[in-house]
Amino acid sequence: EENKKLLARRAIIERRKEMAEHILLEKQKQEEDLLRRQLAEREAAERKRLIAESERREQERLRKEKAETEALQKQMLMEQVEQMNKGKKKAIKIEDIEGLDQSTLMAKQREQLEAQQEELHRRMANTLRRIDYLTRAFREAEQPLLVEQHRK
Amino acid sequence: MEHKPQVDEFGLEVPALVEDYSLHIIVTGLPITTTKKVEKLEQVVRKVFGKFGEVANTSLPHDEENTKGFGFIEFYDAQIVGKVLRKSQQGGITFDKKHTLAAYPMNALLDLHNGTSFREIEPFQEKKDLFSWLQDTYCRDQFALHQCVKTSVHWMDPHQKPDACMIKSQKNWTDAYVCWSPRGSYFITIHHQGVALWGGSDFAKLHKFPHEHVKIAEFSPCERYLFTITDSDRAPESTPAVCVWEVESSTLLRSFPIKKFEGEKPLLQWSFDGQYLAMLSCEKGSLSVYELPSMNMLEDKSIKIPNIRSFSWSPSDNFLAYWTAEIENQPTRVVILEIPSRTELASRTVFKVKDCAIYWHNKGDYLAARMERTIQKKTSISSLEIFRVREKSIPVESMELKKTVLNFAFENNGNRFCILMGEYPRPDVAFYEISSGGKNSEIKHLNTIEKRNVNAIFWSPQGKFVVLAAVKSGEIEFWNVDQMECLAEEEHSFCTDIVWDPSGRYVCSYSSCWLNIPETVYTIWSAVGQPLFRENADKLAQFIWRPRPPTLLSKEQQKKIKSDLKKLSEKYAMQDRVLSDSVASGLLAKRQSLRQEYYEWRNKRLAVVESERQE
Amino acid sequence: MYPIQLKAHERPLTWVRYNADGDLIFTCSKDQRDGCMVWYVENGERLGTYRGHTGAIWMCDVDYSSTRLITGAADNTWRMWDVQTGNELFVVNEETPVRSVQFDEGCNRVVILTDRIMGHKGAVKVYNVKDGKPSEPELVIPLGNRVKATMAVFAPLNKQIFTSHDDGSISVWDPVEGKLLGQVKDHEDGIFGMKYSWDKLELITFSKDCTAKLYDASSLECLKTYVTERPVNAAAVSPAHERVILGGGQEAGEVTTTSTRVGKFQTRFFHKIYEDEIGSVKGHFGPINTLDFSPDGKSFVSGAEDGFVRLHHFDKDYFETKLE
Repeated sequence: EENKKLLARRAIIERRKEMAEHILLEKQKQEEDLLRRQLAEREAAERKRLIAESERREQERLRKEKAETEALQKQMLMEQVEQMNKGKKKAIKIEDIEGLDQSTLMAKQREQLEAQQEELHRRMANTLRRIDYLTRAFREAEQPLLVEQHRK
Repeated sequence: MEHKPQVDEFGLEVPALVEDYSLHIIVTGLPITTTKKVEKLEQVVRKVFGKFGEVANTSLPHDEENTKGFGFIEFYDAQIVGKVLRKSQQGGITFDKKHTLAAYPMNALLDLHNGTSFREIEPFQEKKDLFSWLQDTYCRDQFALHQCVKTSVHWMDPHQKPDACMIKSQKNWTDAYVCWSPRGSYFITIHHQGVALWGGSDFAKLHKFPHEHVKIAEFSPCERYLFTITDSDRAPESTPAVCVWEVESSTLLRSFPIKKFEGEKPLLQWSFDGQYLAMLSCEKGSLSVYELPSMNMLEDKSIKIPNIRSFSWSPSDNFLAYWTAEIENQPTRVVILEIPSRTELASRTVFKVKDCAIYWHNKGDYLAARMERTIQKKTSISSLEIFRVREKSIPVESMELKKTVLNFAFENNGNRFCILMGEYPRPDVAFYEISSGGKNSEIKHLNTIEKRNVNAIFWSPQGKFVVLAAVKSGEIEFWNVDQMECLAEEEHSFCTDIVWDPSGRYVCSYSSCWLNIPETVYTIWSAVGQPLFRENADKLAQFIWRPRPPTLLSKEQQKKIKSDLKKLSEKYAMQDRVLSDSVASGLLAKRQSLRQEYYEWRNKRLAVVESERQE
Repeated sequence: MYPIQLKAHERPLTWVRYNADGDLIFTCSKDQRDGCMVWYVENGERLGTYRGHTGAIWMCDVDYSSTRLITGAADNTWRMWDVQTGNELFVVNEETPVRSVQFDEGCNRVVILTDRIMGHKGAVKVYNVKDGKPSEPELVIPLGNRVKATMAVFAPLNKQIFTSHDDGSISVWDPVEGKLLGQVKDHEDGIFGMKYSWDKLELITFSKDCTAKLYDASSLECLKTYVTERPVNAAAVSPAHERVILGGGQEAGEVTTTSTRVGKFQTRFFHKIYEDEIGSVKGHFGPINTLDFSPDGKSFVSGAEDGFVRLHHFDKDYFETKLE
């Protein structure tokens, strides 16, 4: 009987032990799981961060590039404008450059060239007219003198 | 050229004492000799006319120096007078080998006196008429077009085509070429037998100067004298090489035989006022200066200048510039000589000169000598020697240029000059200014336009504008030198000549058939290079603007007109509008009628064809 | 105006022409093999080549419906082609080169001109091509010792036959009997050729005497003269505007000695009624040998010594500008 009791107790103890072990194992397993999960989460976050970071950097680079080209373009425009303004009365103001782009500038340039051509034509016509009128005025004034000279 | 009475001055010579002239004749075409020899001449005349019958009296008019080339002869018998006159009409009376005489009845002169004229033109009328072209309402210029067989004179009218303002056109007007006298009074035609002068509003024949195979005819700038040079290769030995004439009376002042020149081409030039005529003989190294109208050599001896190469009178003073070539360590010299004193006013000596050319400024303010020099065996450089003629003791400046100077031209009425240097076909064009005297006098470089395809420089007669052109190729550039800007770059294929009108308003470029250009076109441009007319003129040889006499207006008068120009402008603008409107309406009317005519034809034809097709 | 350059010919062009619909251009050249080509007017695309001749092709003509093409060549033959397939329908052998070929009005007959060369005196011949290859000519006009003829064409409504000659004259012949009816001579030097306006009211001649003349096509009365300073190799009358175009240039031999710039190889525009020169179109590197206007007048084509064909469509401006 005693033996029976002992055996039974042992078995209980054994079972308890097993259970405790099992619980421990379970617990450990749970912890490990948690740990792994946490790790994975962290990794994912890190990756995400990295991607975001590189994207940000790329964008930064593009922005910079764009700014640079814009600056360059602006400079070129400025140069062009300067060139166009050279020796002109009706200059394009530097403040107006904001919002100017290549094609409108080209149009402006063409306009200016045409104006220049027109100006030259106008000037030439004026010169010609002056020479012509002066010649005629001189000759007209001379005509009575000629008559007089040949009456003598 | 047949002998015709040249009797312009006779009216004054008629003695009024004799009442019956039926036994008197006038003889023209006599040789001109010095007065000392008049008696001898008289003897010969008596002998020649003695063949017809007994001569009663002779009278050979002369002045202090020379006989006049004509004379009066009186006979005893009217029949003999008739014989002489007949002989004269049948080809002239032979005097000697060179001279054939013409005889006219004295009564013809009387008739003239009584108002029945036997000549074509009244002298007074003629003289006045010579200037009618200067009285044009629109103050236009004229030009002559010589097209080998046809020659014509036109007004330059910016509103009309040249054909629409033709003044005269004649076939075979000349045998060789045509030119204008320096002040534009006469139109000159060159013939096998001599030179003819034309003028007046209808371009009537005014004078003839018989000179066989004449090649060159050149008026003195004052238009009182004319020299003619024969083509010594074609003219017979007996023909004089050079004849000097007084224009108004058509008299021969002096002639020079061919043998005087010994095969050398005679080189002659009038002084600016026609007071002197200089004749150069390079071979003899002598320059002979003759005084007008006597045509006696100054101081009876020529100026000895060994190795002289060429000379040129100043256009404003009796200064003569010449240059002598280098010989036996005697360097090249450029000298300005005063005439008649023969004083050397300025000179310049330069060593190692290969070639030299001298250029006078049109007002005589400057003289330039362009020299090509060899420094080492093969390299050559150029130098320009600029004489400031108006400044005290005539300072000379020298400019050395690294490149060969190919062409040089002074600005008319200005103080700038233009040179082409480097190498053809693309030389550099450089402009310089000769700043006025005093301490700061210098020759200032104004601008250089590199590598232009041009070979000739044509300054406007008014200065300021210059045309640079590639003659015989065709590029033409119009420049305003005040602004240093190119006004136009144009083209006239094969253009051989470029000529400015006297006012500086128009430029004509043309291609002459003399240079074997197949298609002869002329284009008239405005001073700034706008094409105004382009015309195909078949066999065009010459396009020449009619020169004008120097202005009669004083500096003050000119200044006043300039300041009043604004007022006058309106008048001219109005005049132009009216003119162009009338021309345009005329053209429009002509075109409308042409068009109407065409469409009448077309509609009629269309109707006919339609009906025929339906059949 | 924008030009389309048609480059396929190797040698100088001799003849260009539009078809009646104005959508095709036929070009003839001195090329041995590919002497005759056809192109789209719209875009300048080449449609094909009529291959068979063994010598320079002098001239071609296309019938009204654009189905049959005839060509005359220096290989002593003239041929008929199917426009669409490019097949040779038949070939007729002559004794000498065939200078000109032309359909009559109705396109039933063909008039050809054979060259005067080495003993052969040259003749105008009329063939009936209604039923395919003709065996014998309907009419032969021997030209004998008369001045060399340069082109033979039917008069409007086939009433006569005109031949142009090397002395500047045009002869008029009876189209049935072959009798000489008359002659007009207005040109001072040889006529290179003649071309009708599209309405066939006018005939324009182009000549060595540096002029082109516009004739009344029925009466051969000379209406207008267009003066240039060079021999006129080609001319055409605009069907839509009062314009004629002239082409020419230096003699072929002189071309190499001058640069193209001074060569003046332009098509020159003249006012048909006022006879004034109006303008010019440059572009060729050699003298222009042949010109044609499209039937609607909206384009023209030029063929030159340089082997190029240039097709010019006019801008809207051209129709708007009035010089009057």
